[in-house]
Amino acid sequence: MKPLGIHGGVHLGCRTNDDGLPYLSSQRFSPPVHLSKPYYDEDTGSLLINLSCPTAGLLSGDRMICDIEVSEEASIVVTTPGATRSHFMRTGTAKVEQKFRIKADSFLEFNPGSLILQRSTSLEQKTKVEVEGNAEVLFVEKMLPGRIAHGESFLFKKFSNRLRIQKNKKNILLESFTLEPENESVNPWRKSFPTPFYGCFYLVSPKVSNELPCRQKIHDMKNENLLVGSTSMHHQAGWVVKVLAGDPYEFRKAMREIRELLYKAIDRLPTSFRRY
Amino acid sequence: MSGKKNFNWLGGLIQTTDTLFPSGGYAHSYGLEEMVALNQVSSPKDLEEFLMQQILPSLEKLELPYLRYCVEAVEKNELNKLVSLNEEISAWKLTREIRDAGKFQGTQLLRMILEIYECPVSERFNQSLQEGNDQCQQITATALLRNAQNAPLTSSMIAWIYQAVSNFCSASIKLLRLGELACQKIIHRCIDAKRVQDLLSKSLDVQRDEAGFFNPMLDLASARHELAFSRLFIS
Repeated sequence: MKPLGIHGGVHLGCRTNDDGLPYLSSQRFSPPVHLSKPYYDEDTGSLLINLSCPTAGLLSGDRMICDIEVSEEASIVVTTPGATRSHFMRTGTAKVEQKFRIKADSFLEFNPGSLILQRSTSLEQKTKVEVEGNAEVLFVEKMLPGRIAHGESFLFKKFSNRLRIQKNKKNILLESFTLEPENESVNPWRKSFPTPFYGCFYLVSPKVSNELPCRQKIHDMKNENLLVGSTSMHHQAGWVVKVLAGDPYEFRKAMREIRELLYKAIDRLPTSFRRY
Repeated sequence: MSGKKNFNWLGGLIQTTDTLFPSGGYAHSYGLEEMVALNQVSSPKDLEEFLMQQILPSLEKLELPYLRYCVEAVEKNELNKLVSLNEEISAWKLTREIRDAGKFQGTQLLRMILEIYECPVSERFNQSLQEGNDQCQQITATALLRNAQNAPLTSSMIAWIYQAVSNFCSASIKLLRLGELACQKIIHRCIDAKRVQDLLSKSLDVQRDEAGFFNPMLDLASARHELAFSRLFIS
């Protein structure tokens, strides 16, 4: 049977109004994405957007586009209320395409919940982040190899992920991989912990081009259930912080603490995701 | 062996793969030192498993395809494409130490090519890099070298596999107190003809937009090595 699937997504433009406050200058969304009412955080000066998924996740044949442009010194934080599930697929593939353009003097944090690669799922994700001038971006990826609480681990079919980050049209980071538990492609991840939680922060900011002040503090977080490492990007455009954890509590704690440290390093205040 | 085949390239390939050739590789462990410190690799068995299950697959899916794309660009005299590939290589080397190791060794190798060979394409490429204020990655320089030697693509790829494996093994002599014989046995099994043939045939199918490999543990180890309190190797 040919998979049906939903073709939709979200297109957002974020600018500042006459008072210098960020607002959504354009918005268009369709299933499998729903947009929450934007919330302006007075303390941080950021607009908080929650993207939710009325279909409870990605299904076979789904095509989802997320296209966000931030300009005019606007500051926006985009997250999701919970994890993104890539569900069981008998046949076919779900495809996600993400494009982010952050114009000069603007800021974007894109920090969705964890991507859960459920049994037999097949997902392709392509992401392009274009950073202009002295704009800043904090892009976060979190990934679980299945519904670990249910004992499901590395039973997905295929996940291919392509991430390209450019600053002033120059490549500063390319991360590309295809994971198939049936072959050796998942070995390094699988070998790290019995139930490995993976996260990565990609921070682009001219404020940290020479050094990341919290770097040692991040490395000192390492314990028997947590591995953390940070390194600078090509052209000294920013930093990559990778996290591997053996349990969900350690993982969440580390991701929260590193986020706070990175915000401090770029002299900004982190916006609360307002998940109650 | 057919007597009609031309093996003029073989001497140059052997010379530039030999440890006497100043590649600078002896000073690098490419993340292995911290993998040992993190107790991820602690015995000859672990080392072999690391090479077989993590390094060879990453060669197949990432480094060898890029070597091939660079060789093809050199053969077609597509300098702009080569510059763009060189930049991409720096961008997918996620950690600074690994990226800098590639640049240091690439720059050194390019200098050697310009000294030893008459290679106009390498001269023009070097000029392009200088104009763009960029540095040559080892993979790119190797493609230029193998072109100057007229080495066949598959031989160039096998030489790359051998060098990658032997670099890790060379570092492991110091890091794991591995004996030379044990080291050679591991190298021998890694470059087993059937294994290499399988690896090459899969690697030749990898398209540019799908080349890549996921090894968060080695990325982490390499990133942590940058701040390690004591260390024997640059990377």
